[in-house]
Amino acid sequence: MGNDAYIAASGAATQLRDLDVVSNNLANAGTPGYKRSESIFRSVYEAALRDAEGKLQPGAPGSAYVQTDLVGTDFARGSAQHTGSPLHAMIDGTGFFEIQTANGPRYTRAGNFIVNRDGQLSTPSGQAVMGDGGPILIADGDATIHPSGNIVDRSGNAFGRLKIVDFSDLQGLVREGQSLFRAGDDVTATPLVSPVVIPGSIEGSNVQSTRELATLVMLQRAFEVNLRAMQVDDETTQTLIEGIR
Amino acid sequence: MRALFTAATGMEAQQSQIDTIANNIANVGTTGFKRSRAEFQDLFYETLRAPGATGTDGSVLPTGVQVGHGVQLAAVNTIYSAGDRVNTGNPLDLAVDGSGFFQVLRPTGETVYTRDGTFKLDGNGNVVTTLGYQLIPNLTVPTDTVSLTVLPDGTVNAMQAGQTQPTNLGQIQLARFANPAGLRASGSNLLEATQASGDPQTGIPQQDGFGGLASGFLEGSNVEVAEELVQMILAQRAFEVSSRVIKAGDEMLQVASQLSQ
Repeated sequence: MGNDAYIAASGAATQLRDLDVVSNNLANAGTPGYKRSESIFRSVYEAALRDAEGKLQPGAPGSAYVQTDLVGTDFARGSAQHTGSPLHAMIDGTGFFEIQTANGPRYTRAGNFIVNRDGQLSTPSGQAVMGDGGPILIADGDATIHPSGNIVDRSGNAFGRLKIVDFSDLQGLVREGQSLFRAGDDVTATPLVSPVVIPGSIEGSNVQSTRELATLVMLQRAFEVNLRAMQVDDETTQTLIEGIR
Repeated sequence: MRALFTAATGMEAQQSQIDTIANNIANVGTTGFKRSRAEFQDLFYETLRAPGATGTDGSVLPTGVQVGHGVQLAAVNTIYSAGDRVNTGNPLDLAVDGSGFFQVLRPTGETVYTRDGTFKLDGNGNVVTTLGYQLIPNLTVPTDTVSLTVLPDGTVNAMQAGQTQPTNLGQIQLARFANPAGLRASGSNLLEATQASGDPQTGIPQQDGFGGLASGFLEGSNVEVAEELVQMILAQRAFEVSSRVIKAGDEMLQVASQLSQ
């Protein structure tokens, strides 16, 4: 077997990895605040051919192995879903809700909040949502989120405000599951001065099933072509061996 | 080939979604029923390469390679929005206009809570639920009562035969919780307090944020059939696309296995 078979195999391996990514996107097509992942192969493919300045190297090999270089996050906005719950909120524009966890602050676009056992506004898994002055205590279970991010009681008095922050570099956010992101080492959170939220709605997943299905069909065919290439390479080698005999 | 398992979590999640929707739709006509909402979150991620790692050409890569493992059901949350008012004309049919639950006594001695205000009288004149559980505090209506009125603040007055002034029988009290979504539904429209809901806080209707009582009305369910049907269609399609991924994964494995033949 020649080098070609290994190149085709590296292609097939990336398609298997991409299947995992597409599969996770589709599984989360109904997860509030989910941001789709996208595999990027090209930069490594090119990096092997180009020098540090990005110029094509004169002696570059005519072929390169393919590898999954990045799995980036597509932070495009998901569609608003009206739920009618007074404790649900969707951020209109950029920004993330800050969530308090045992491992430090985490960030989410999912605004499907509930009240946890300590009476705090929280995520569905019970982690407290941060306000400007710490977790927000919902004393009598009767509170509403205002478009300014204020939490108001039955008589209309604000007793807390959602802390909404933004980041300089969104790609520096690391996924942690539970619809939460962690800020990477070089990323800092800046609180938004005047955020706007849509009360009674949540941000749906930004996965478009048709687009993912198109990717699925393409990666499946590419995988088949790569395996066919490996087979052809194998057959060619076999013919060669038979010719020698 | 983790894609097969990832897709399976997607199918399981949509099954839970359909189960929740089915229960909501089944209870569209149940007095005091509050609809549930399945809350999903993405599952954990496998970090194949951390952000900030060095690439093949020595550059520092801004993002890493993180591959997710699917979706999980985080909670089934109860939405305590008000249901529609249904006029019955029966003075012992009560709807709470705002926050608060009726407290009723189970025969086993524990207090349970409900938004279903379908009250009746038992053989001894006690105010009871459809299942015969007594209201807390217990109210006994005299047998010679001609008419009964329940005021918005929970005061129950009975006009007895031969009297010109109504007799005050007592006052209905309500209970509320810091986290009503943490109450455990035990069927028959009854809810039990849990550690998650917090301890009940009792009070008089129309005071301290408790809702008033509307006599002659029942609170219908807060299920919106059209919305549930839309959610059902979405869940069904999402189930189908996840099954499509399993099929694609299977076909790819089949192609790979044929290669070695």
